[in-house]
Amino acid sequence: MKRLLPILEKSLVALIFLLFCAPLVHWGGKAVSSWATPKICKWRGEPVPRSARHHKKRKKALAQASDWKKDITKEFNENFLFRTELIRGTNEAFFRLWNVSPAPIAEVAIGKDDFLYEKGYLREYFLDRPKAESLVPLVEKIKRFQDLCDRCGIKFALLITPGKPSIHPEHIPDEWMERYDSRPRAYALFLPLLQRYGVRYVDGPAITQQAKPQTPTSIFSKGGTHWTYHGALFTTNALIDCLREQGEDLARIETTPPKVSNEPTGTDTDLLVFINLLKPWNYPVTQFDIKPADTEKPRLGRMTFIGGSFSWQIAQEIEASKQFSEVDVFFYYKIYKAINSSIVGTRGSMRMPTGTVDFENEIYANECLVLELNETIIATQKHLSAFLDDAFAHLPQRDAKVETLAR
Amino acid sequence: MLFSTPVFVFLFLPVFFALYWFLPGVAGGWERAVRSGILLLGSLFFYSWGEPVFVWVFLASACFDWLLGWQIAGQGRWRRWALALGVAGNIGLLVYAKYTRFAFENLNVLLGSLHLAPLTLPSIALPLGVSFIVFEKITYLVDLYRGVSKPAHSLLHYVNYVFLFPKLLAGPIVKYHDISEQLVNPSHRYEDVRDGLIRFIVGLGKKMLIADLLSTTVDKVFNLGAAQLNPSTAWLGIICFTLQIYFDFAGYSDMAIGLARILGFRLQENFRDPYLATSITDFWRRWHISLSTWIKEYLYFPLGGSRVSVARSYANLCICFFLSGLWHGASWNFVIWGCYHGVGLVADRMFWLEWQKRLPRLLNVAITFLLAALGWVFFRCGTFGHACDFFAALFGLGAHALNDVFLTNDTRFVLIVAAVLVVAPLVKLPKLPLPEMGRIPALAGAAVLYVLCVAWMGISTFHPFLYFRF
Repeated sequence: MKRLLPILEKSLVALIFLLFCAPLVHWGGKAVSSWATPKICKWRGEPVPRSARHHKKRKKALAQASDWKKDITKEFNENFLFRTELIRGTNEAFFRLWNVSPAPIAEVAIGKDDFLYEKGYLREYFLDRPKAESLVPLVEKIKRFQDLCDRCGIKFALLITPGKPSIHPEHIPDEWMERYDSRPRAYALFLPLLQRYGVRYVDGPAITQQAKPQTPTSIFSKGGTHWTYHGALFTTNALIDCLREQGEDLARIETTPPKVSNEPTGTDTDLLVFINLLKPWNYPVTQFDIKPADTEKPRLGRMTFIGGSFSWQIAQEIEASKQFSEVDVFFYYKIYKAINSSIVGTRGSMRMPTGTVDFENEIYANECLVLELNETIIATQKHLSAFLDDAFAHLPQRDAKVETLAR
Repeated sequence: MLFSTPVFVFLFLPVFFALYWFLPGVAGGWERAVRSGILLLGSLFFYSWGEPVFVWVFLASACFDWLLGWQIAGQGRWRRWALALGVAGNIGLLVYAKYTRFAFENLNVLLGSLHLAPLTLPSIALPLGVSFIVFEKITYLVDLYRGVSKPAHSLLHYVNYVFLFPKLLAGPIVKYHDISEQLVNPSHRYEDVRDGLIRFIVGLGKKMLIADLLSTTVDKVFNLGAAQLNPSTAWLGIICFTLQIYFDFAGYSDMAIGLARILGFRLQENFRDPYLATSITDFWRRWHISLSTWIKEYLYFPLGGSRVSVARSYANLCICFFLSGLWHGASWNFVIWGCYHGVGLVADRMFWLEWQKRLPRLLNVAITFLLAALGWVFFRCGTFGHACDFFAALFGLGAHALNDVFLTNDTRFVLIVAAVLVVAPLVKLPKLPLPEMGRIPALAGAAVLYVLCVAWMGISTFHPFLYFRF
């Protein structure tokens, strides 16, 4: 025993040193192998020649890199041995042991039956209580824009989309339920203002709430922060009704019979992906296909949404019905633009260069314009105000005089 | 480069230690010089990673100190002036880097009250660890003047003393005479490496698995406005912060002591169970020991210490803690925090140390813990107004509002673990028949702890050490 203990002790010390060195060895191995492997030129498929000149150039470029410390730090922060497994394992342990998500950026609350909620949405639903006066300027701008659209012959609607907590309060953790501020939420203050000013709006939260018993699975999936496509469909049809009332020749969306699938994908798993567990869960979601509208009928012009992530499902459903020649989304107005679900612009830098919006052609030449606002950001939104301010600064040529007189 | 970042743990540490241990072996008779050279280069690289400009300033100033040191240690009539020049130069560096902006801000307030145009605020970046480096450099000069130590024979050893990377950024503040022999001849024993390794990992665990986890709740609570605070949230915040700052700083000190030990240096302990202190006086014997002993030896004693009148000794205590507060940061909140502790020490001397003898020890510990925790409010709040709002919330005088801060299960667990670790020294463990029997579980535990820390490294975003600001 006395002989064995020092050997065991030294083995443990060696093991600890190995643990310290393993990431560096692994990183070095990776670096050597990537250096030794010939790079393939994307445009020709030929190996890049590894001449002495090439090495010199490479060395010089490395030496010139101004942020080499940042690069090394990033490399080691993001590429150490078993990092992915360790992160997922830790997330899983926190989830199983304490019912929380440890990642500080995740901001995910785990509700009853493992329903996931974004904390920002919960905060708005339970705690944030603005004053009605603070919402008036936005409503006035929307009304002014609506009038502008009417004069230009553009069909217009304000679309209010729901948040997960108001549609599925039954799964919210009890600790949050105890902290409900009884004063009215922004949504409750906003609707009377819209009515008072005569703004045409689609009340997504109310429509979705009514539709809740009609869906085979929940409107918002267990692991998603957005509504499901099936959940969004009811509001999409309400939006179509609103545009039809304005004289637009649109048909309501028809679908194949909904089926329940146990393999959620895409936005139905966005929060689940975010909390990054070892083993993703399966849960039921409703899936269906959209039937294209009458193919004989010529397609309408262009429809554009200016809104956030909840616009996506609606825009895609309308696009799938093939009634418009083009359906565009200005994601949070200027983060990027999507044309028929394909993102254009500079998504990498997440910002379209200022001034790239051609209001005359991209906005005022639309058949239909929809401003989308989620109920949880009514009081804090910036994208709609920015869009409306820019729109008033770039009035359509055909209406500039009228608008000036109207003001 | 922080001790708890992957780039330090996975890149700097293995590469540096490989060079430090193995390269001198092939240097023949130059082994010691090569090892000192590697230590210096490693330390300079470590510091220049965060301070690529100031490293040259400190390097030049260290060379200047070393030259002055010979004058101070000599018998010449200029030694007093040389000391004054050295101390003033170092204090000047500290004041310039740390307090210029603060002075301008206060001057602008004064000018504003006199309806005069404000001055443009200078933008001076605070160099990392400046307060620690300057204090250590002063220590060297004063010790030479007092004859406590001899001047460093080699510039290399002196610069190594200033830049020794384990203690460079946040202490412990090392006195030259404590380490001068080790700089010339550091130990190279397997036992030091083993114990240093365990100590480093324990510190890493304290910092990453306790302090960083608590920081989420602390940040949330202290970011709440006065209108969102209520008593239970405020108490949760201050208890979490009390434990966070201890495990953060003690964890850093453990890592520094452990790393130095691996290199063959023994640094002074910086913490000795501070939350088991029975009075504020006792607290300062246990909290940031290297700073409190520095203040005692280089400030309190020169002011006269306790060998002057009672009133004067109280004033000396207040001056010391006023300056200690200011040393922690260029903000009035730190000054108030320092004065709060100064007043606590004066109260101890006036009556409390006598009175408390009638109370049970645990009650004294609880009272001191509460006093220390309340003091941390000034330390953590950004402004005096924020601290006042926080105190109002603690004592139920605030808004009693709703907010989104919860005591989550993971925080609850960490709080329990932290509390157990704080009181653990009260329990005396039985001695093992073979010392190796205790080391095996310690090493195995360290290996597991290290894996947990690495896992948390992946999860966590950047959490700088709290004591970095000083």
